[in-house]
Amino acid sequence: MIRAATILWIALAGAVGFGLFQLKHQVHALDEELLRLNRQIAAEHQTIHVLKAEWSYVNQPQRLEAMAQRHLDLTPMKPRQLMRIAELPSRPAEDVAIASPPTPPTALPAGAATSSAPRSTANVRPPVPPRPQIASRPSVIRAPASGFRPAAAQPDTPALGPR
Amino acid sequence: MASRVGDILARVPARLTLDGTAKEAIETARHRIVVAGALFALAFGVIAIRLFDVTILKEAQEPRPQRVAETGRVEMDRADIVDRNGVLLATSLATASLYANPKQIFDPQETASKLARTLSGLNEREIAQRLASERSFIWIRRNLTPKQQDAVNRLGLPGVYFQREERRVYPHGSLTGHVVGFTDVDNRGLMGAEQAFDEQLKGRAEPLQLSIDIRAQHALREEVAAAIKEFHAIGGAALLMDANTAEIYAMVSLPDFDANTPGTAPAEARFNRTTLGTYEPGSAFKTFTAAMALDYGTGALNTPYDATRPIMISRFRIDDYKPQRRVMNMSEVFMHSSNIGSVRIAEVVGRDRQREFLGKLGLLRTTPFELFENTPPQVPSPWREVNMMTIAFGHGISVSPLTLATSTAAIVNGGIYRTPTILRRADGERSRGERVVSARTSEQMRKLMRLVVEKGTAKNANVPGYLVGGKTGTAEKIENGRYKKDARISSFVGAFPMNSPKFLVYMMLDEPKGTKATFGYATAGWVIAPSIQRIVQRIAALYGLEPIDDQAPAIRDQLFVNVAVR
Repeated sequence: MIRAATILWIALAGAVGFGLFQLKHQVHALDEELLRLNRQIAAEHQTIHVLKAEWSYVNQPQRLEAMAQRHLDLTPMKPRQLMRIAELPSRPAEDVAIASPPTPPTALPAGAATSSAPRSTANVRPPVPPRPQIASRPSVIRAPASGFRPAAAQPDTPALGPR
Repeated sequence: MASRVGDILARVPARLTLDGTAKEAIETARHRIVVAGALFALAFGVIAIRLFDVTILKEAQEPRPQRVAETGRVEMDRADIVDRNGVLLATSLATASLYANPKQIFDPQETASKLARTLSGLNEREIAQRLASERSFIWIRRNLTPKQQDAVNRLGLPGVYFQREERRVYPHGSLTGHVVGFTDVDNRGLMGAEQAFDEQLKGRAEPLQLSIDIRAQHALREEVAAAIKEFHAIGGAALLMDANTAEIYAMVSLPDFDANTPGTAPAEARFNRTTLGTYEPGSAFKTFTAAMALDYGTGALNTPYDATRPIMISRFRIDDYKPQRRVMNMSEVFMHSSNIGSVRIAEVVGRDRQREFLGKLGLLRTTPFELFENTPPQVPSPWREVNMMTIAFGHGISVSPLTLATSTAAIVNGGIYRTPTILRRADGERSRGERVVSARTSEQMRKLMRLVVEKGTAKNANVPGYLVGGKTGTAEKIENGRYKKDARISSFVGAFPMNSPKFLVYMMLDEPKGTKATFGYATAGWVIAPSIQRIVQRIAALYGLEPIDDQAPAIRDQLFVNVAVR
């Protein structure tokens, strides 16, 4: 009887000891993992820091300007190209009535660029080719000039920097 | 238990069995066992309590290896500097610096030759000498590149170590050279914002935000550089300032230098013309003469002044650049930039009041400013009658472009003088400022300055839709106390849009030469005004300024000046 109890206690103590060892081992492994991850995070932060400096470096305005001149068809914007919506002439009535859409939208009528809701007469017009989206400052848009191309109408995004 | 003890005792040889004493001994042993047991129990109890305390209660206090994941940013000893839109202008990058402990080096000659072969530009003999010295610390090379560090590591030299250091890096190089400045190898600010805000930059986490806008800075720098090239000038400067808050958006001084390698730049390139240089403003100073007369009420826009004859005083002869030889009203004097007329305007105000007025406008003292590169104006003392006359048209007094721009901003912004700053103010935040001229004077001055661009000497600066206004100034340079005839400082100070000025813009060229395109003229109307036009065109849209119809009746009413009085 005494013997059975002793064996039980020894077995229990052994089991608890083993369990504790296992747990400790696991915790240790997790600690190691955490340490490794923290080191990695610190290294990534360091890399981000360096990349931020590099980002600023590659965004030098003079560099962007040279690149834009080489690769883009954009030219510096003239104040004349800015207009308020209120200053735009309202769309003439015959423009709506004549049902011949401009085939390729090389030069859009001034009214086409406004963000006003479609008019009730719009449904009598044949399908219009997709318009270049002009979505920048709502109050100011460019007025089309001669030789004006929709692609050039996109105002400079801040990322492009000053021209 | 007692019986066992009895058994043991029973087995003990008979000569030791003592009946009475045996029982006594058993009692003693029992007592001792109890005492010993109690002691052990106590000891184990203390250990148990301590164990409980250490493992369960004290857990939080124990320095364990980090329990949580790191989320913090990179810890640097010196904060970043950013522009008003958050573009990085200066940052610290970690580098390794190489040092040696000569006491641990056995063969200085070999160490030196190995290092010299690995790191280019290292003086082998000098390093060997220093390695052989008795000191225990010498720098070999600061701020190695990772590649160099790796190469030195591969040499496996004893007594040679790396120290983690920080190095300031300026991604925009020379674009912000004068404004941001630079630090020495120990990261102490030596110039610009690095010097002015040295204490704040040390040990703060969030970046320091300047009022500079890198886009405007670039536009101004490019235009000044183009003008210098076109007119073969020896230098130039430009300023863009918020006319209402006195924040400086751009500050350019050419020639400039790359802040990453300041040591290689000549002293002249490190000289900030906008704040350290003082120049005779020439006719640009007539703004203050006109404002003075309007503010003291000694003259109005249509008050006539006699400019029929040159003025002779002591050894000076004051004449006009393009003499009209007639009576002109104040608007005409300003529009044609008449020296004689300006003297007449100042004469009516008087010498003492002129001095008082210029003092009030901050033109006779060092302009309060954050940068250490700052300088007081050169003011005549005593202030004689002749000084009053020459100062009326901007000669015989030298001020820095910053001083001139700050005071002109006060004239156009409604009459409030605010000290300039290169720190970004929160939107809508303004320093209190100090009223220096009445709102009415300011309004009339805006009309006059618009007139100069519309019909006067600065027509080339006009930008349809942006109502540019300003005043040109061309002054001959002084060398050894004499005016040099063919060496000029041409400048323009103005603002836009003139109905409600948002920006003050200043630009100058040092010794521009006329070209065929300017018919040989090197005056400001020819060499500066076109650059001002391009600058305004480039930056107005950046800040969402809508073009204004300059012919609209409301605008005409606001800015119209009737000059036709003959």
